[in-house]
Amino acid sequence: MRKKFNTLILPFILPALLLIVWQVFAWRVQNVTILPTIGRISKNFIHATDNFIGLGSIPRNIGVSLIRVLSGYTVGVLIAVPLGIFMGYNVNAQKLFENLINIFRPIPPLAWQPLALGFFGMSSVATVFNMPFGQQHVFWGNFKIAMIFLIGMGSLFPVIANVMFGVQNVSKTLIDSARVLGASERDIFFKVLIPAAAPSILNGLRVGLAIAWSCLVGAEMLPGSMAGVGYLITHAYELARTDLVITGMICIGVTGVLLDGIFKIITLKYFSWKY
Amino acid sequence: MEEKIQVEHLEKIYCSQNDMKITALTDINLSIRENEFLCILGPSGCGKSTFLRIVAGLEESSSGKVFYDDQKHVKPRREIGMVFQNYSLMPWLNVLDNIALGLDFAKMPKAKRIHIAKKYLDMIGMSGFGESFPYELSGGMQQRVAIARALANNPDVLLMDEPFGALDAYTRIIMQKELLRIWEQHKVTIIFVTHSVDEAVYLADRIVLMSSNPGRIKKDIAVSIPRIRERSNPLFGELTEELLTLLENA
Repeated sequence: MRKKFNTLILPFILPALLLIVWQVFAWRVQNVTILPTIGRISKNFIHATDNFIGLGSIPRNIGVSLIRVLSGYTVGVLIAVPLGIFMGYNVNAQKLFENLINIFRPIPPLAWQPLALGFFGMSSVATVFNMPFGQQHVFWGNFKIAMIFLIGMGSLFPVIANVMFGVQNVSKTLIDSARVLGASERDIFFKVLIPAAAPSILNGLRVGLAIAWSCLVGAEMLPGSMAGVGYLITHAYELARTDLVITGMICIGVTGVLLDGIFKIITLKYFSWKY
Repeated sequence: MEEKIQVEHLEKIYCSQNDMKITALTDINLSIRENEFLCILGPSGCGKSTFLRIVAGLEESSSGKVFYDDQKHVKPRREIGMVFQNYSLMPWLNVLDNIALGLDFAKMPKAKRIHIAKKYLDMIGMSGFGESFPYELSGGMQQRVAIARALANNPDVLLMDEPFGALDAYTRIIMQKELLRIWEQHKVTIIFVTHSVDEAVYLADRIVLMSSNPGRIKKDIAVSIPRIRERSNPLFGELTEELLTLLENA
């Protein structure tokens, strides 16, 4: 009974409380620009496929945002994972890159906005791949290189740090025992270091994706975007549509949780030896 | 019997952070015969583990030489296996894959190495645990697997660095018996490092007593108590007593 309460009820107490407080405040305030009621926002979700303020449906906006985040994240990860492994494996590599990374790391991705615009201007996936004008060009024109750069920047450093930490902290006993069993340097790298660091690497990927996703609103504030949840929020704000702002926030939160869930499942399935 | 491992004037000097030189081992001379069970007994900090790591090829000596079968030897080699105190199994591999790891490094095909690993799994009496993962096993079982893994490589020499040091007293006694059984069956040369007098007297053909600051050999004692040894044997008690006195003054 008690266990049931702890697992089934306990996790939902605070969210339920939040909803109640929200609703009470909304009734008291009686001002949709400050705080719309839950009912009003549910309506947005019930009509999720409607075209909101000319920005398209909710699923479409989430889709556009997802593609943006995943492309920026992929670029970030492709740089960060090999670099992190290299830095964790080789002390000199760490010395070479450490200062540079430590200086860049505290800079919030948003601070790169002006530079990103300067570097990449309005170029997008469509212009980079020289797509012919038409529907396709309009769609791929949504994915500005500057946004992908910002999101990539956001995921880069946490992934490097976690991967490096993971590789550095592989137990010396494991490496020694592989050595006495006749492992070559190559064996040690591929059959000891990488599998032993895999949970940390995965954790880095997880943190990186969470940060990439949370860079979304900032990245989508860049000009030239006509879709995406982040843009929906900024645009709705300009139109004083607070209900749509909250709708967008909920979309970001829920999608973030779902993305994180993927990592949770992988961790449980393949790395149960670690946890 | 022929000499398996020969150590001549071995010395190990560490440089500490403030450039102080610390002598961990000085002038170690030792030869170990084939199939001998040698225990290195000493207080913590006497450099006995360092000695073992140098013989394994995991650390370099500052001066002196180690010979294996009359060849000078520096790097780890398959003929010399090693068992560590604990946590030396690959946690992401199941028991069979762990035992077969050295064979994998030797590029043996999967089916063949699993076949061999099964043989060693039977030897340690854990036939039902092939698919288990290290974290699912008790400390004693993990050490059995570590021994099987070292033996699966078919080494001539087995170095053991306080392999039962992290086990509870009861499991430890069982493991000692088990190790002697495996040793009789398998015939390898064993260098076994321990700080337990009882363990050394129970296991060894010969005990090398070390003392610290700097680490050196204090005494070399042949153990003539007939096997299977009983702790109730008066000879057992006498030798234990003698070693304890020597250790006190070490």
